[in-house]
Amino acid sequence: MEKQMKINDIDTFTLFVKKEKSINIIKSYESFGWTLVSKSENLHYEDLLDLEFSRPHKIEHKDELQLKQVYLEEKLNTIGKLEKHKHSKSTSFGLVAGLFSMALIVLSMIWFVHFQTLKDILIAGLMAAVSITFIVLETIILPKLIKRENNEFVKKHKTIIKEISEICFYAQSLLGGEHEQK
Amino acid sequence: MNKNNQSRVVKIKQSEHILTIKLKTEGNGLGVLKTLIVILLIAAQFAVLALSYFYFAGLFSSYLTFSIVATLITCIYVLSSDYHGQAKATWILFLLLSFGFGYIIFLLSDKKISFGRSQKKYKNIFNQTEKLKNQTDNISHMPEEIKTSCNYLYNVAKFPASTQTKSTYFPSGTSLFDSIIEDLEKAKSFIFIEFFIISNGKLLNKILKILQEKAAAGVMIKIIYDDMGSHGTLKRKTKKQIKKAGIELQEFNRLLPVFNIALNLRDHRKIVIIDGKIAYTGGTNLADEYVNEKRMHGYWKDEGIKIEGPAVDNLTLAFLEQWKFLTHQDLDFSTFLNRAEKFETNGVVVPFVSGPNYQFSIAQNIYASEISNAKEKLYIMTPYFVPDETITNLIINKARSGVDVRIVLPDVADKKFVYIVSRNNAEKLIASGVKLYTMTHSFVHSKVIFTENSCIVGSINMDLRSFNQQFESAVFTNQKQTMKQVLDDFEYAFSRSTQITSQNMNRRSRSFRALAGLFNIISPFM
Repeated sequence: MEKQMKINDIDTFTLFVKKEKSINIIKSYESFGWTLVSKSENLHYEDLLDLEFSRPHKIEHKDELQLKQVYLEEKLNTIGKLEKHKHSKSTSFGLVAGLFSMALIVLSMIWFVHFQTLKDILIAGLMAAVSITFIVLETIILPKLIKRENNEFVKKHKTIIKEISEICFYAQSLLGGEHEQK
Repeated sequence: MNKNNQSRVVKIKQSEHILTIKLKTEGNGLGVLKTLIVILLIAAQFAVLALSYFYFAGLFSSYLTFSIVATLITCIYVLSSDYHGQAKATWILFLLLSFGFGYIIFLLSDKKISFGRSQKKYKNIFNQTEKLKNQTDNISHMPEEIKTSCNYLYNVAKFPASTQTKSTYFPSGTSLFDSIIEDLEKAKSFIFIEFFIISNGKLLNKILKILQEKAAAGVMIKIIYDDMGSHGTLKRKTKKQIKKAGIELQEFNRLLPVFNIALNLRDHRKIVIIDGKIAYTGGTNLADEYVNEKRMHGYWKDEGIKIEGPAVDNLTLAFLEQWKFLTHQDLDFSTFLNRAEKFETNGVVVPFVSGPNYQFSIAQNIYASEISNAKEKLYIMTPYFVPDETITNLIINKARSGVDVRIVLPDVADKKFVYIVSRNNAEKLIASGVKLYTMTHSFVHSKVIFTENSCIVGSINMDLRSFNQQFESAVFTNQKQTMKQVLDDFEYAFSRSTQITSQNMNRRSRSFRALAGLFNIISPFM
């Protein structure tokens, strides 16, 4: 019986994590009763670590812990998504505006070189003026957009970190004994 | 880096596809590849059929007249058949759109033709096993609603009700399989296992270890798995390993790359029987995702029920009938029955199975009965919500009569197109007063229906596939402690869910609604 009991003794799982976040992530999983068993470099990616965790198979409130662990993983990946798309709006704006301005300048130069009438010179000049206006606007708007994105990111990041802390605290309380509902 | 340059791993600098973390999950996509190949081969046969029509139509002018007449006759047959309304409409549409060869496909699809021989075989088996079935226990003291459902199950397919069987509900795959494993370790004479999906992984390794030990100790072990459900998940090597251990392994309805609508009929049951004394059924299959060892679609919410007592014989006999159908083995069924202890309980337990091998859709009818009997509460947990108009109207009428009707669906989709249809169908009921919930970051795989009178726990989805095309298993019970466990599970699910209201429903895009409408046309065949 004792030998047969060992089949069900330990749960394990492996996680691939971004290196710079590994310490906090290990702490988060530890609050769910997981113990880090091994840490190694990922075979294929330089920025990843392979973490192996284990935990006793039979623990109190396992179903709730498994559910909350999914919430934790979703939140962790939301942070990653936020970081990835932190400056997506400003990047898109900068690229589109920059390319448009460059295209206009090139077009105005071509126009000026190829068409020598007064009307065409005026058109070329107008294109150049629009392009310069776009560049000036871009230099004014872009820093403000970046600043706004940074503020939004900080606000959302803070909220998600708080939610992660709450999840981890709740998980610890489940393992510790009496627990509260969300 | 290896100095001899023999095995050099070239590392990619940045893992763009990983956001912050990624769980290591098994699976190499071979199952998906095999499915694609089968679909392509069937599509190719479909194309050959269509091209053949055009060839013959070109050769023989009278063939066109013949095919029009054949299509009309088929349409009349469909209209006068016992298919439900939506299936009739879809078939008629299909026949008209493909009038040249659609009637051939219909002929191949009709159960009487594609499944007729098998149905006769089942009928013979049922005739042989009828005398082995127990009588229903005395249920005269039970409420009318309970008696109605029990009488239905007994009259239709001789599933006796037992007042001497105890039941226990498990609100997750993890807790269910922990109990199954504990009981498997105590098995002494036989173990019967039937699952839609059996998948290589940690759970199967644990269970196989026990089964191999038990087989070596002389315990008879029979396993049925569905070939479509388990394709790509149960490796050939494992099948050989199982058979080598002296365990009998049998696939159900082998998946072949030949167009045959009978391929659509799958064994969706999940049954474990131990010594004829203990039985389990529910929503969980034998795979890691069902116990959250593998992350596929968020948190996997599932359920199961354990029964101990004479009612176990209902499932034992159902398993043996299926085994006989598949293997033609001559077994003395009576040696596997009447082994269980009797218990004193406060309610009734009726395990039952359903499938295309029965004349009636037992699953649909018992669900309809359960819904009809609800006067205060009607709670449904299902991964897919694609019922026919009968069930839909019953639910709407209950909600409009003031019954507290709540449906819990997944928040995460496993099959996008079914999910779209399910959400669309369920959202339409909100206007009638039905409360719809989606369990956050979870795939709700549970199949439970609860009213203040009784509950049904099993493998039956609230969809047309489960009602008409799949072999299913479930337990009907009104035992107080089980009802409390089920109710607690529902309350837990509500607290972990988002309620869908008419406001967030209206934010659905036009494309979602258009897609849902399109998929709804083919929903009778989903």
